[in-house]
Amino acid sequence: MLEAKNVVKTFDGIRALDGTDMTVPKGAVYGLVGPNGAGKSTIIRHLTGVYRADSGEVLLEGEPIYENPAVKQRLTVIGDDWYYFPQATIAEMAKFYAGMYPTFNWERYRKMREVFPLNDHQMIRRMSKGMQKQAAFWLTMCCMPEYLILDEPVDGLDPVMRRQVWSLLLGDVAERGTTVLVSSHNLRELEDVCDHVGIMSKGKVLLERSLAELQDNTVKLQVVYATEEEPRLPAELHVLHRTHVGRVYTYIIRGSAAEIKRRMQICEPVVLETIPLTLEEIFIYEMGGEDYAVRDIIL
Amino acid sequence: MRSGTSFFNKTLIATDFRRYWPILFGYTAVWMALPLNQWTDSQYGVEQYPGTIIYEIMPMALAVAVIFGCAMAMALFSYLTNSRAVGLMHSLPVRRITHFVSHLTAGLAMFTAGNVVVALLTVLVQAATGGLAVKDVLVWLAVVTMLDVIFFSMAVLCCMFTGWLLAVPVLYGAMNGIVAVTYALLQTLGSLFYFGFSVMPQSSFVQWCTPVMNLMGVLGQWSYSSLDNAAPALGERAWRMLLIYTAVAVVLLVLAWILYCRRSSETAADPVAVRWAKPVFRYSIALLGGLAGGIGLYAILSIRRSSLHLPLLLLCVMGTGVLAYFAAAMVITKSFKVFRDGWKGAVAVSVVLVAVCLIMKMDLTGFVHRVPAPEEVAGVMISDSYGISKADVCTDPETIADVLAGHQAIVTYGQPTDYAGGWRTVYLGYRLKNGNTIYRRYDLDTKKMESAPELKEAVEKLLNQESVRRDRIVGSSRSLKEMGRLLGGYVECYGRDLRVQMTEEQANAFYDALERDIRNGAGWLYVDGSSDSADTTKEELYVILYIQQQDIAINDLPRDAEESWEVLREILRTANVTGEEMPAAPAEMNK
Repeated sequence: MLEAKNVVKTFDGIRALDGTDMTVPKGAVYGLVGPNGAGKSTIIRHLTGVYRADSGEVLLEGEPIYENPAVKQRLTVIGDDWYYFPQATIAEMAKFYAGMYPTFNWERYRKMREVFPLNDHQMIRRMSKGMQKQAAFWLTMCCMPEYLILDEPVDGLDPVMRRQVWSLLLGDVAERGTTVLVSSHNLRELEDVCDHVGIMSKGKVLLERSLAELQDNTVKLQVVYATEEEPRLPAELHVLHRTHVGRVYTYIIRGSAAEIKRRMQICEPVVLETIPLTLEEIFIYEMGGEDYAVRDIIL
Repeated sequence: MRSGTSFFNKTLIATDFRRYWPILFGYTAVWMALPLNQWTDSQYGVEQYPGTIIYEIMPMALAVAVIFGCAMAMALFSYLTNSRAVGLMHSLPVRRITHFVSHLTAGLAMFTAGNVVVALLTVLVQAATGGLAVKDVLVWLAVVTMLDVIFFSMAVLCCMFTGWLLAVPVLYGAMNGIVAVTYALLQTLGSLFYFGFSVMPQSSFVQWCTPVMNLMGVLGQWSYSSLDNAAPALGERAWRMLLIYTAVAVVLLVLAWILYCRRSSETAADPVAVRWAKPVFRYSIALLGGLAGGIGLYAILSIRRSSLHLPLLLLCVMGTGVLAYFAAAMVITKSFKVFRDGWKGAVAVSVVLVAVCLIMKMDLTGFVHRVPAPEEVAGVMISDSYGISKADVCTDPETIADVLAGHQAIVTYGQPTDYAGGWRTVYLGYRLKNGNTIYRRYDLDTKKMESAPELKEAVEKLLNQESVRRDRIVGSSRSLKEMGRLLGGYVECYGRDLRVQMTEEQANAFYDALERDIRNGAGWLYVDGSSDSADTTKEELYVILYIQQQDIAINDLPRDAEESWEVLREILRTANVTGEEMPAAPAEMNK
């Protein structure tokens, strides 16, 4: 389990992390989402032991990560801008990683040549950005980490390679129980792979639960009333969002679907349907509560 | 559970070798000069002890260590200046101390490898050319190793302070020179405020804090041992200095390690990576920049003035101090928008600079009017052409009394008002009985002296002390015979295409006559620069005397050194110089 407990980090007076609490369960695929500047990359750098927190704890299975090689050996990261030595080839970087991570698997390295169509004796800096990302995955996965942290991992990869990479990652999760934390803005993709989600904003994790719970806990309701006018909704319903087109009203309501439907009966709807929310919609409507919603602005 | 600490990571060390071998190659290539010179000396039949070339090439070791020490540190710790690179390196399962020690080890190992290769090649060349000097090769190895450690350590410490790669050589240069520069600035400021302020020799503290200059002074000094004329040796002072600096280098490395462990990774690409160092840099740059810029600007604006214009100086130092402060703030914050938040600091800098100037103006130590009491003085030094040499101390009570009286007159009457005409410079020095030394330099306005007879008389007396006249004539305040045996010389007269060799006897006869003339007052100089000496340069006559290990040139034999002239003309007559070739007698020379 990866944990951040009340982590605070300030850069030149700006509080990038403001008491961040986060728990990534072991074996989970945890999607960390949030608007730009929420602190996702900052917390990731704490989890990888690059940054030292001003206060709070960053732990892996109860052990501090910072300056702890034994713990850091079990964890690897692919940052949004992966670094390689300027003159290095993939093979040379592989030697470097093998020297750093005792679990580096050369057998897997050789097998992955079939997955990634790259020349491992070509200089990485001469490759395209997408190819460099592939190289990053190739090398990092050969380290056989127990915990893998990915920051905007599949940006730059073509659709086929994206699927390939996710397939490999999920294969590791299933076979080896690898824990994956992935930060991305591509919520549609995350929805397919994540089983846990954390929504971050302004240095805090606002919401953190399993995807199933999240989807169960927020409901999209489409209602048609018998009357022309919309009736008053029950006060106990926590309505996050409301729109209508003609007589069809769409509500985003926090709560369980069954309970909401039961309470809505009082409004005598003609049509009452629940539609599953996508992760993107959950994000948008949760962030709307944090004053980060889509605004109608006339230019 | 934390793992135990291993200080060395083989992968990091091997990676550093693999990435930075060109520096090792360049370093070794430069040092190929040693075996190559050894080879060429043997091929061209240079008759000297085979190890001599090592000592001749020793000053080069300093330059090589300075340059490559910095380059190596910059390369090995360059990842600290790139946020992507530091993100990789510090995410690795390696402790900070292991990072630091591994990179350090890689650097020192590369230097050592290069040095060993060069040493082995040199010994091979020596063996092939039939002249082994293994001991001297080992001396070279020890010296270059210590120099590499010294300057590499300094550069590593500089790397810890900044997240800008190109700031490292700047910091490195500052580290080597800031004390000397500050000392020079304070001296310059002193010379502006204090009438009589003399630029003093650098104290040992300043010299020790300027390692490049300090080491340069000793590495070129080697000598032949008195027993074995063929085997040179580096002096004991040089070895002591090297050992002390190496010990200091180890301390610097410990400091660097501490800084590395505490340094935040997010400071990559920040000009100043250590938080507490930011105000130190900002105010240091502001104060030094204010002093240096202010003094320079004042010098330009007051070029025609001899007396201090305090308001102008204050304006100059304040203005440049504020500029330097904001410039430093812009560099540190990487932004031009520093004026609103930085005005308080700029005001503080101005206040400090003004305070320094006003305190100096107050002359709280009584520098300007200080003339030591006679009972304090053990000896005096006087010169009019260059700075005081510590060796030229005169203990004659009468001379001491004359100097004190002259000094008092200068202090009372000699303070400059404004630039009016020519200058006459007088250097005074006192060796006090308590071991201290006082130095003074007075630039005296000759026009002012014309209207102050007490001053004029006092200065003329000082300028024409026997040691000062001797110094003007022969370039030494002491008798030349104290330097060594007078072996001979020659007389040359360009105008007449004349050159006559002097035997040892003739040279001694000439110099003895000159000494008598000096004692009798020859070479008298008036404050306006005129003298009773003829302008003998019209004769274009030069006398060169050979003293052991050096030649002394007498370019301007004064006309009133009548006995010397007579001896010289006799020497020329003996060499059959007659008629128009013979220089005129002093009485017949044009003034």
